[in-house]
Amino acid sequence: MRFKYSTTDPSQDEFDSLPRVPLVLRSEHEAVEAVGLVDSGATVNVLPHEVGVQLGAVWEDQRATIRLAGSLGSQPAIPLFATAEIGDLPMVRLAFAWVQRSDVPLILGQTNFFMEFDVCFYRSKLEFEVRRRSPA
Amino acid sequence: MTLAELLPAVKQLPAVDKLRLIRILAEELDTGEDISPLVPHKVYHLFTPYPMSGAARALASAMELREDDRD
Repeated sequence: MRFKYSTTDPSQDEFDSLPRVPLVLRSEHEAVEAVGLVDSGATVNVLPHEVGVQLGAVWEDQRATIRLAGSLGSQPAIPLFATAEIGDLPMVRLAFAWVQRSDVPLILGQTNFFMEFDVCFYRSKLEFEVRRRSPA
Repeated sequence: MTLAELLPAVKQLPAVDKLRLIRILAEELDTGEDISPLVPHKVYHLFTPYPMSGAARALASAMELREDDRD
């Protein structure tokens, strides 16, 4: 399934376009529409605090058993799981590092978005393609 | 051994040992919980710089200027 690169702000132009994909995240009782940045430079999926709360999660410090490091600074994170629907692709269970900050993008990284989907970038056409991975 | 059998002995522990027991049990729960494919206590790195709005245009402009200088 192909998607267009997009911006998040009218002041941005083609140079700021990034591969973002609309998705629906579902927990047991809630469903949240969101947009994820497809980011091969992230080792893990990242979920902003606000989206986790919308999914019904409650932050508890003692459950923050993993940690993020790098360009968003060092911060604790809670492993959180949600079912993701992306267009007409088969649903998949994604594992997120849920952080306490809401001013971070929803990131789709190597674990486990890129493990579940094959992604091809066509930057010259401002398009990218997401396919469910082939069975092993 | 059941909890009912264990509880009288636990209640006799000094406060410091009760706290130690709570911590041990909590850590066991943390590491025992299935969070696969994530790994407990691991540090995950984000290498992409966010946000960098405007940086790509600045770089492209710099490249154009350099190419103009060469012509």
